[in-house]
This record gives sequence, C-alpha cells and structure tokens, in this order.
Amino acid sequence: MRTSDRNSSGLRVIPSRHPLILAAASIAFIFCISPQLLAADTDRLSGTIAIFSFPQAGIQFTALSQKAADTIADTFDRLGRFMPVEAGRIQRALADVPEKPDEASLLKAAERLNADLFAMVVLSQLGNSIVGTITIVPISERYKNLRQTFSVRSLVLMNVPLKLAREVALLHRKLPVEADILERRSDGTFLLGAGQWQGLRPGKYRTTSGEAVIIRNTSRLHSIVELPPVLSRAGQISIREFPAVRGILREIDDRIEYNTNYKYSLANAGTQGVDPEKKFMGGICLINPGANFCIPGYGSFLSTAYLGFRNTSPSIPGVVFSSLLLVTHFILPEAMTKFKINFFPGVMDDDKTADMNNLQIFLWSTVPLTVSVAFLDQLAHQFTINSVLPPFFMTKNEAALVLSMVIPGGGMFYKGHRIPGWGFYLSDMFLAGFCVYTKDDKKKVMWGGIALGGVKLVELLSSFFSPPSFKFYNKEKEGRIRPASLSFQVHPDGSGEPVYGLGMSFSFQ
Amino acid sequence: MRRHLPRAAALLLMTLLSAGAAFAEEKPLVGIAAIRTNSPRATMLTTLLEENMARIIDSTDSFKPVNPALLREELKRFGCTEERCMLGFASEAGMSLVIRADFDDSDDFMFLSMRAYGIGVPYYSRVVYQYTARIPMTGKLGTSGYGSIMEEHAGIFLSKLFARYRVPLFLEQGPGAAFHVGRSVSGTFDAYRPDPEGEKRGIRGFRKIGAVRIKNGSIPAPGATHAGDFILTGFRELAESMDNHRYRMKKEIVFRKPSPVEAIYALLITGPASATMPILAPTVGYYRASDWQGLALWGFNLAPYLYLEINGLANYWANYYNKKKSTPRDVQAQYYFGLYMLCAGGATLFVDSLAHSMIEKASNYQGIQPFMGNALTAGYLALVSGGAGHFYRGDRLWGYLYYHADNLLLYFTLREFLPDRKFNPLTRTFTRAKVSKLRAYSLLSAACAVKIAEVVHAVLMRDDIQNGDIIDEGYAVEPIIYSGEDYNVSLGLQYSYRW
Repeated sequence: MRTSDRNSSGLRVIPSRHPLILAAASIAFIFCISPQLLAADTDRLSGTIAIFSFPQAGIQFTALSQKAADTIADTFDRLGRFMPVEAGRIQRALADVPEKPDEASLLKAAERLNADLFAMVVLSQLGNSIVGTITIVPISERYKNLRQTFSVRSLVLMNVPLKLAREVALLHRKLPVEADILERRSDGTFLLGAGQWQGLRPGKYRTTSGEAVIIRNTSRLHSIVELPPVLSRAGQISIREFPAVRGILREIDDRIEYNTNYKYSLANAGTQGVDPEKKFMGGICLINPGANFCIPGYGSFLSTAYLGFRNTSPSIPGVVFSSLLLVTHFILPEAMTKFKINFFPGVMDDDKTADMNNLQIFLWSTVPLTVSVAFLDQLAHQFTINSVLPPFFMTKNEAALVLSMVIPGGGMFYKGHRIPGWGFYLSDMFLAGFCVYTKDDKKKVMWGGIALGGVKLVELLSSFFSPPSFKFYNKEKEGRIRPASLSFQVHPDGSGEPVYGLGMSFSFQ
Repeated sequence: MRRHLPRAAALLLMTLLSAGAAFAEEKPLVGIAAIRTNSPRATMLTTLLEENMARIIDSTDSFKPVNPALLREELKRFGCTEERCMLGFASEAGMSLVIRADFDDSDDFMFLSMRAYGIGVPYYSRVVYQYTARIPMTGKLGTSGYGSIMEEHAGIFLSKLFARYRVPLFLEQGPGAAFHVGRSVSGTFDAYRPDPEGEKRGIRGFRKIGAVRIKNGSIPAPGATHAGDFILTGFRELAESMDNHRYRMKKEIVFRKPSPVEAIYALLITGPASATMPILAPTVGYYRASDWQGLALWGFNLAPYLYLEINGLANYWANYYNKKKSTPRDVQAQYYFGLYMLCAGGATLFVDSLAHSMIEKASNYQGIQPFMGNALTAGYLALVSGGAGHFYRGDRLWGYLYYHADNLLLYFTLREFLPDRKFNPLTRTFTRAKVSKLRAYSLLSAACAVKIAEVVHAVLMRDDIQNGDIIDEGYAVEPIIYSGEDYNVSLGLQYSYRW
C-alpha cells in the first residue's frame, strides 16, 4: 500500500474551482438537470409511514418519546416494508399541527407528507411503570387492515422504545412484498417498485396467489422482473418474501436484556469496590463456609451481606430447613443405629458396619454442598426482596448450568426457583447417599446410579431452559399489554352433546 | 418551495463535487458520511472514523475519497440524511461508492454500523457490504486510543468491502478489429451485455454472453462481444494487502517487538508453571482477571486429566513391582502421563489463564503487552504442551481441541507401549504381556501428526487481537410451503439474509 504524503490531517481535499465558474455551473446544473432529478426523486414510493411523537410532560419523557420514534423508524426501515418519512420533514409537518393533536389533524399532516400510514407514539406513567403506546393509522386503502393500537410497559426507561420496536418487528412477520409494476420494457421485462431494500434478490419468487416471477436484477428500490402473462397487466403484485424478523428480534432482546441487567445489577444497587462476580465467588468459596462453621444454618444468611445488599432480612423457613439438614448430616447414621455407633466417620466399632461407615463419610463430606445450597437459597430470597439480579445474569442460562453441575439444585436457586431447587437437592443427595450406602450391591447401585443420572439430567436441563422467576425481570421480557382476551371453545358434555363456551380473561399481573 | 430549497442547495454541492471529480484521475470516487450519533462521545468518534477512512482510501491509490467533513456537513445542513436522498446525491455527484456510518452509544459499548452502497453498474445503488461492530468502551483511552480503534474498524470494513466490490470495464473499439478496456488487466473474464434501457429509471438487466481473454487491457480475439459490453473486475489483492497491513500495524502498537529471548523465558518457566497450574491458574489467572468463562472451562476440562495425574503419581507403579504384584498397564500409563502433566502438560491452562486477558487488553489498546505475539514462543508452547500455542494466540476453541486431542492420544499411546506386567507366584518372576505394535504405532503416528499440525497451525495463525465483536445481520433458515399454479404443494427450506 502506498504511504500517504498528504497534509497533516492525512486528507487530500478535492481541488476547488473559481467561485464564479462554479456558481454559473451550479445554476446551469440546477436548471438543466434538476427537473429530471426532482421528478425522479418525488416519484412516490409505496408504503411510506410517518412516525409522530410529541413533547411530553418533562424533558426526560420528551427525549424518551423522540428516542422511541427514532427506534421505531429504524425498525421499519430495517424490515423493508414501510419506509419512514425523514425526521426533518416530519418536524416541518408538525409545525402546523395543534399542540394537543387529534387524529384528524395528524391525518392531514400525514397526507401532506404523502405517507400511506402514520404511527403516533405516546408515553405515560402508570404507577412505577412507563407505558408506551403506538397507534398505527392507515391512510391508503391498500393498508386498511393494518390499523391497530398496542401498548407496552416497563420499569426501565430505555426499554420502552425497544419494546415498542419489538412489537413493530412482530407486525412484519407475515407481510409479503407489495410492489407496483411501474413500466413494461421493450424486451418484455417489467420494472418493479421493490428491490434490495424490500429483501429481493435476483432469482425466482412466487406471488401470494402462486404465480412464479423471476427477478433479473435489482437496485436498492427497484427490480427488473419477468412476469407470467396473467400478471403482465396487473398494476401491482404481492411476492411471498417475508422480512427476516428473527435477527432483529434477537438484537432487540439482547439490548433489552443489557438494559435490564444494567438497571438491576448488584453494582447499580449500591455495592462498591470489588466486582459483584468476585464477591459472589468469594461468598460461595470462602465467606459462607466460614460463617456456617461459626453459626451453622444462620451463617448462610449472614454471608449474603458480603454481596452488599441494601436491605437484608433472612428467609426464616430457609434458615430452619437448612439447619435441620445440617443436623441430619451428622445425626442420620446415629439415628439409623439407635445412637450406638461412634460419631466420627472412619472410627470403627462393633456396631458400625462398612456400609454405615461409607454413609457417614458421604454425609460428612457433603456438608459443604449443603451449606452452599443454603447460601444460594438465602441469596435467591435477597435477590427477590431487593429487586436485584444475580451476578453473571447476562449469561444466566450458562451460569445456572455450571452451578447445577457443581451444587445440587444450584441453577434453580440461581434463577430464583427455591422450592424446585430444594427438590433437586434432596433428590440428588438421597440417590447419591443410597448408592454409597449400597455400594456392595451392584444391582442397587446400578439402579440408584441410573436414577441419579436421570434426575441430574432433568435438573441440568431445567436449570438451563427454565425462565427466571424474578417478577421485576419478567416484566421487562413481556410483550404488549393484553388487558383482556376473548376465548371460545367447544367440548362434549357427559352425553356427547357439544357445549359451546365463550370466555373473557383478564390479566392482573 | 421550502421543500425545494435544500434540494437546490444539495445540487450546488453536487456540482462542486462533480467539478472536482472531473479533474480527478480515473479512480472510483468514494463518499463517506457518518450521519447519526446520539452522544458527544459518538460525535467525537465520527470525526475520527471519517478521517481514518479517508486516509486509508486515499492511500490505496485505487480509490479517491470525497472530503468527508464537507460531505457530512452539507448532507446534514440540507436535510439529505435519508437514504434515498443520499443515494441520488451520490449518483449525481459521480461517486462510485458511498459509505454511511451510524453510531449508537450504549454506555459500556458503542455500536458502529457501516454500510456501503455501490452506485451505477452493476449495483444500481444496492448495498454492497454492511458491517456492525460492538465496540467496548470500558477502557480509559485518550484520543489516540480511540483513533486507533476507529482506524482498525475502518480498515476491516474497507478491506472486506474492496474484497467484494466490482467495477465494470466497458469494451471499446480499438484500432482494427481489436477491443480494449480502460485498464491494464490480464486474464479471462466473463463478459456481460446490458439489456435495453427503459423509459424510467437507470436500472437495467444484463446477461452473461461468454468469456473473453484480455492481455494488458486489449482483447485480441473479441469473438461475439461488441462495444458497450463490459467485464467486471475487482480489488481482491488490494483488500488482502490492506488486511495484512492493518494486522501488522496493530501488532506493532499493542505488542513489543518479538524476540527469541521470550521463547527462552517460556522454556525456563514451563516446568514451574505446569506444576503450579492447578493453584495459580484459577487464582492469579482467571479470578484476578475476572475471566469467569475461562474459570468454568478450566474446571471442567482439567478435572479428568488432573485425576489421572494425581492417581498416577500417588499410585506409583514401581511399588507394585516391589510388592510382587501384577502391574496393570493403566497404572503405568497414568504415572508417565502424570509426569507429563506435572512437567509440561499443565502449562497449557496456565498460558490460557494469563494470555486470554492480555490478548483482550491488546485488542482494546490497553497498553503494550509483553511476551505476546511471538511466533517462536507460540511454536515452542504448541510443541511442549497440547493447545498452549493456540491459547497463547488467544484462540480458546482450537486450544481446547488440541489440548484434548494431544492428551488423549498421549495417554492411549503410553497405554499401548506399556503392557501389563504379570507376576507369576510360582516362578516369582514378572512377564510382560504382548504389545500390539499395529495399534501402538498407529496411535503414535496419529499423535505425531496432530502435534506437527498443531505446531504449524500455531506458528502461522494470527493473534486474536481484533477490537470489538462483529455482529451479523439478521438471517433465518425456515421451512416453507408453496402452492403452485397447478395446486401442487411444494415443500422447501428457505435461507434468508437481510442487508
């Protein structure tokens, strides 16, 4: 590559010409070429949408409303079905609209912009939540079925635009390419008003009515196409090519996830200094075992304070249950032998069989697992009451899987499912204890091992795939608000006669 | 009237640029406009990106940049930021490529989206290449650091763009029956003929009419071609050279100059590092660097080999011999494998625990990283410890693949070459079981082949020092059902990729 020998900024500027010559050239250019250019440029593109947002109460809400409009416009643009009208033109059109606009005045503004539809974005506050509402109003007859209103809610400001954009993306799932046939050419091909932006590439496509069309070449917004005779006189066609919504949904979901994690992270909740991840690891490996050595059971709750929660209160059932389990670890072999055997594992006496000794060793050696489970149980309680997400939550599924591999039920506690967590812990420990206790009976060990493997597999899968139970988090993952849904069902009664049912369900979440 | 004012002003700017272009050499003109930003930090990056992009384009000697600051300001001033307006503008200004960049500031990250539109034949304003990168913004960098980051992304984008971009060379009538194209190119090219032009729009179809052989821009035997036909030629070599240049430059910025002494240091610390790896890697390495992914992978991947190491060294096979007991082959193999893991094999994960964070710092321009980026060190590490060379280069996937392949092949090779020693109580002597030479030498050959491939791969591969993550655009694979004209149902699989 040639080394540049340009000016200090590394740029070489295009040589300028004499201003008078330039001015003359410009005027000639404008008068000679601009009519043609303007004609081409003002030729209407079908499927344009004007997105209106209005000043709200407060600067923050106004900025958020504008951000929502920008994000929605970007989503429309990326999905290639409705071309957003440029923001500058919208601002100019809104200048003539009253401060509190009604639908009729917006309709007039949208018509002046030559838009086929318009969308109105409104934000409001409902308790702690921000509610975003978008109303899509068709202007062209072609899009009359698209009229709809939907709302989303969130406790995280920056998620409102993203959740609205998500719903806009979902609208596009079944939208084919609607294209006008603009011109018939001398070689029998046609100029189509849809191109790369709409997702078309050279190749064979089908229309929604099943006819085959062949696209020979595309520009950004037009195509050269071969049409069957049946379509050659049609003014417009619908091509069965649907927008790739999945990739955009994934990207929006990632951003919602990031914003939610940022808002509800331990770091944002007031912990300072060491990373929350390091505190979490330190808590499991060092602080919690030490605390339980001093105060068995209750130590698990005390160690949660190491992570820096603002408000901590113990889960009393969790403390009681884990304390009982710790006692069980030491007392179970004694209880099974009516307190005749030596308390310490490995110290044999006449009453202690080899199997019982194995069980005792197992129970003593798995005490660290039980205290870790008790710690995770208390943490799940703290995360819920403090509305904080656990560390590593950006990779929550992988983190839950790793925890479940190391600690029985760990992944379920991590995602806030305390009762299933205890269920998996008890199942794993019982089956592992059974295998150890019946070590010499190969058949029992085999069946015990198979059962343990099965339970562990179910646990790992559940940990990875189950959604978290934190309500504040799930609210950010929900879609549009559905205040009521209508259902209809038909089922036979006892005598075989059909019974028709009509129901209305409301969500109070 | 108000609508036409910005358009007229934009036309004035087009005239300025067109006038400049007319004076320029016959190089494709490239317009760069970073349009959208949403924070002061992003606005600063805009200028850096534009400057770097213009400088790189200018230095190619094959393309010519339009003054990006002027272009951006004029586009913004006259409200010509919409895609359609910008493409019309670029077309009238005689540009061959127009690049649009948008920044989206997201606290810890900056999303940079760049999109290049090809103007004229054969693209007709289509997007030629699109690139979205997520750039970490957590490091404390100065203007020069951010300048380097922008230069890197501009370089990656342009090299990938030029690898795809094609320009048409139209056939012109030369003296006699020969044709020539406007550039000195040689080779065999596909020739295309444009379809008739329509009344509206500039877009035309074109058909392939055959191949032509060109020598230094001349076509001695034109065959069925005639004037107006064209060939498409690209810039693949330029793109490759830009890519290599960018990688070399970044290595010079983030690594010290490689020296053989570094390989000697690596040789000296291999033994101690390997022996202490089970303690030092998780604490001094992964925990200190908050590399939690590394820590989890370390735990699961080390466990089986650590078991073999401890079991092998604790259960010394010679004790069986002293106690007059038969010595199983596994006991012997575990012992020697344990020695290998103690002295050299453990170095692999020690290297990973340190190199991963150093490579990450290098990729984000956070200081000069010592001992990194040396091909000799990579080769040495790959030779003595399975996968260590690849971990040193920052490639965890290949590292773990070689780590497991090497360890498993080594263990099973040892096991084949160390047969059971059976003690006969009657004669009080040991007898060696027979070695399956075919199996043993097959395994040895496989181990050697993997090792040679690993060393060569580790020496030749690049360090993983690219800044940020490149995000792919939306793609989807989904089943589809068509109903044809004859009401037959066709089933198919659709792969769609959207620009």
